[in-house]
Formats: sequence, C-alpha cells, structure tokens
Amino acid sequence: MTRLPLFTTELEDSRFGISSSTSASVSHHCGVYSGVTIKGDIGGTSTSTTTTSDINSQIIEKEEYAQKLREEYTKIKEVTIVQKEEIYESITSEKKIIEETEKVISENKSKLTTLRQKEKELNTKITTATESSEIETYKHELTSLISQITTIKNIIKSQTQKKITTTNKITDETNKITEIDSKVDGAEYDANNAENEALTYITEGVEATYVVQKKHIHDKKKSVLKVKETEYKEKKYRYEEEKIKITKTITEKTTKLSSYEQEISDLKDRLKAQEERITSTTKEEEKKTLEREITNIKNEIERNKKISEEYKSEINIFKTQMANMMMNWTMYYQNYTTIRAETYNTEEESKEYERITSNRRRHRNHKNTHITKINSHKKKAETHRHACEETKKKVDKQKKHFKKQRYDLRCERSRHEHNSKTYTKEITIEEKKIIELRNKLTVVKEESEKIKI
Amino acid sequence: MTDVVISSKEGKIKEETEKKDIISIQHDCFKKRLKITSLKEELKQFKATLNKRIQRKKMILEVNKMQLKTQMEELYNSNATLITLEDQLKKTTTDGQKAVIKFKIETLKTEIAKFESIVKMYNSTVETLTSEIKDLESGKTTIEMTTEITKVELEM
Repeated sequence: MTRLPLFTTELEDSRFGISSSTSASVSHHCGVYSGVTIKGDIGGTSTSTTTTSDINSQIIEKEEYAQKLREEYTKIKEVTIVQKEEIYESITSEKKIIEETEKVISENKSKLTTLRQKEKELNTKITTATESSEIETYKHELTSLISQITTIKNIIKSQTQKKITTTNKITDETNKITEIDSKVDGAEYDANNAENEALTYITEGVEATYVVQKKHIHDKKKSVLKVKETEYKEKKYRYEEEKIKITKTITEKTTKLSSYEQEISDLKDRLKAQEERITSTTKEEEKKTLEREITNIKNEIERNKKISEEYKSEINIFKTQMANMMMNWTMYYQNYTTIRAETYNTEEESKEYERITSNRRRHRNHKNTHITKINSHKKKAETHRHACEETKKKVDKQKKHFKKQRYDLRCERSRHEHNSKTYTKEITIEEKKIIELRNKLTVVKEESEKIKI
Repeated sequence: MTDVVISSKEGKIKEETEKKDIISIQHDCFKKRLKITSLKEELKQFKATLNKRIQRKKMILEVNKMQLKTQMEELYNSNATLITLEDQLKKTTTDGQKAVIKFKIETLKTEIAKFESIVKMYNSTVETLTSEIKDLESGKTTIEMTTEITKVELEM
C-alpha cells in the first residue's frame, strides 16, 4: 500500500478530492488507507471524483459483508456436516429396519400361502365329509386356521405399514439432505460472489487512487500553466515592445551612420577637389586659404569618422542585445510550450484513466445487472421447484390415502364375499343335516310303527 | 522527442506493473483474511460441537464393540462346531453321512471366513474410533487448527 502514488506525493491538496486530516497510513482493511478520503462511487456509473461517497467506506463495507457471508457459509457448512451425519445414521438404521420388515413380510407371506393351502384343503374336506362330527372337527380346525391367517395378515399389514412409513422417512430425509446441500451450495455461491465483489472493490480502490493522482497532477500543471500564460503574455508584450524599440534605435543609428558616412565621402570629394585646386593655384594667398580649408575638411572628416565609429559600436551593442533577447525569448517560449504540452498530456492521461475506470465500472454494472437477473430467475425457479415438490408430496399423500381406502374397501368386499361363501356353505351343510335328520326321523318313525304293530 | 515518448511509455509500463503487484498483494491479503475468518469459525463450531462429537463417537464405538463381541462369539461357536464336525467325520464310516458332514464343514468354513473378515472390519473400526476419540479428547485437532490460524495470520 505504501507504494501507492498517494503515499509518495504530498497530501496537502484537499481541492482535488484528497483530504488528509492526518497523515496517510495503511488501514487494517485490505486496499484501504486511513487518513485519506477519496470521493467516488465504485458501484455506480459515475466517475471517481464526482459523487460525495467515500470509496474507502464502500470497500470496508464490501469486505465486511464478504467476511460475514464467509463466516455464515462456514457456520452453515459445519452445522450441516453434523446434521448430515445424523441423517445418514438415521437412514442406515431405517434401511436396516426395512430389511428386517421385508424379511418378516416374506416369511409371513410364505406362511400365509401354506395356511391358505391348508384352508382350501379343509374346505374341500368339509364339503366332501358326510359325518357331522367330522365336519365339526374340520370346522374347528378351519376356525383356528382362519384366526391364524388373520393374525399373519395383520402382521403383514402392520409390517407393510411400517415399511411404508420408514421408506417415507428415508425419502423425507434424502430430501432434507438435498435441501441442506442446496442451502450450503447457495451459501457458498453467495460467499464467493461477495468475495469477488470485495476483490473488485479493492481493485477499484487502488485504481481510484491512480485516477485521483492523475487528476491531481493535471490540476497542478494547469495552475502552473495558468500562471505561465499570464507571464507569457506580459513577457511577449514586453519583448515585442523592446524589439521594436531596439530595431527603431538601430534603424535610427544606421540612418545617422549612413548620413555621416555620406558626409565623410562628400568631405573626401571636397578634399580631393581642394587638393587639385591647390596644385593648380599659383597664388600664395589663395594657397594658404585652400590649405586652411583642407585642414578644416580633414578635421571634419576625422570628427565624422569618430562619430560614425561611435554609431557603429552602438549599433553593434544594440544588435548583440537584440540577439540575446531573442535567444532568451526562444528559450522562454520553448519552456512555455513544453509546459503547455505537459499540461495537455496530463489532462489526456487523467481523462483516459477516468474514461477507462468509468467504462470498466459501466461494463461491470451491466454484467452485474445480468447476474442479478439470472440470480432472481434462479431463485424464482427454486421457489417454483419447491412448490412443485410440495404439491407432489401432497398429491402422493392423497394418492396413498385413496389407495388405502380402496384397499380397505376391497378387503371389506373380499371379507364379505368370503363370509357369504362360508354362510352359503354352512347353509348347504345345514340343509344336508336337515335332510339327514329328516331321513333319520322317517326311519325312526317307521321303526316305531313297526314296533307298535 | 523520441526520448520523451520512450521515457513516458517506460513510466507507464512501470506504473502498470507496480499497480498490478499492489492489487495482487491486496487480493492475497484479503483472501487470507477470509481464510482466517473461515478457520476461526470452523474452530468455534468445532469447539461448540466437540462434546457432542465425542459422545456420538463413543456411542458408535459401543455399538461396534457389541457387534464385534457378538461376531467373535459367533466365530468361536462356529470354530467349535467345526471341530465337532471334523470329529464326527473321522468317526463316520458311511459314505452318505460323510458327504453330508463334508458339505456342512465346507459351508461352515465359508461362514468362518466371512465372520473373520467381519471381525477384522469391526476391529479396525473400533481402533479408528478409539484413536479419533483420543484425538478429540486430547484437543489435538483444536491445537492443529489454532496453529494453522496463526500460520495464516503470520503469512498475512
């Protein structure tokens, strides 16, 4: 964290979205430094420094949320491990119960088949038997057999019921495990999402410091350029003025110099003419006058030469001054253009950083919108699935209830049919008995009449 | 001008590399923090359910011990029966009876092998459970978890 640009630069400027009440230091939260406030909205689409929300507090919030979710996920995971172990144990014991009941049912079913066979045999014996005592014995046996069958049937019924209940329990427990698993998966998914979001916020926090730093540098350059521009305008004006002034002076001096040079040349011409005259003159007096004039002209030429030399040196000085001034100006201008270019560059860089950051955030938000939609659809689907499962359970329950009712009714019908058969058989047997007794009675009557005779 | 452009590019690259480093370090730090949170919660839950775990393990151990005892008794009985049958086989002279006894001995031997494997399985389960209970009671797992937490904290 200490390598971040905000740590390496001065933090005195609170104008640029950076305020430092205390010196910047590394916070105990990752990607956050205390003592520095960077305004912006990581979650939103706005740029980093336009909103009033503090980025650090947003990161801290996300980190704490991710930690909370991770904690919850671990808690759920640990609790469900114990719960699942318990459920698995219960399922194992229930499976054992089912195995035992199946064993009992199969044993009893084989017993029932044997008993039914015996019942059939007895019924045939009863129908074929002629002696009433024999029939009575058979009937007695049949009754005990029927009671045995009923007992076995009851056992099978209770065992089947037990098996059904246990199977239902296993199904419920398996469903519970599935629910627990989905709950754990959901918690893990949420925790991972929160973690990813926190990581994104950390990245955005670091990026934000760079954005702020770039803006800070640009603003600094801008203020420097502003001062420089004013200075440049003034300097340019002064430079132009000075340039005009010096050029004017040089022109004046050059004009004067040329006039003096012209005069010197004129004087030289005059001197030549006078010298020619002096050679042709024979008069002493005229010669003397001419010599005086020649001396005067020579003096004049000397004086003019001196003046022209002075002018020349003055012109040279001004020219040197002009050259120096121009050189200084060129250097100053170069410096000024460099600052301008640098300011432009920093502005471009800052804008680029902001643009990249905002684009990234916009894309992420766009993606997040889709993810949120997917999640909501997922939740809806889960709710729907749960509702479907519930309805299914309800329907299964009702189905079982109706099946049980149908089974009971069938049992009742078969019982009644069986009873009706038994009663019909009894009637036949009774009728047989009646016929037998009648026959006996007629035989007895005949015998008694015989005795009377 | 070219130098200026090159130095600017170099600066940019350096900045990007540094930024990436910082971000990856911060990410690692946060991940470790989450790991610590997770480990601490695990430890908390483990401590909260420790007695329950021990009780459950003890219960399972008792059941397994009983099963082991029963199976060992069965094995003992089967062995005794086998000896008796072998004696009978020696004494029997009829071929038919001999065949029957031999068949019985074979069946019994298969059963004994089955019992032996079951006893072995129960023995290993009992041993595992005993060591697990011992670990839980000694607080070895707790110490291990605490050490891991400290290690991650130091790494962070």
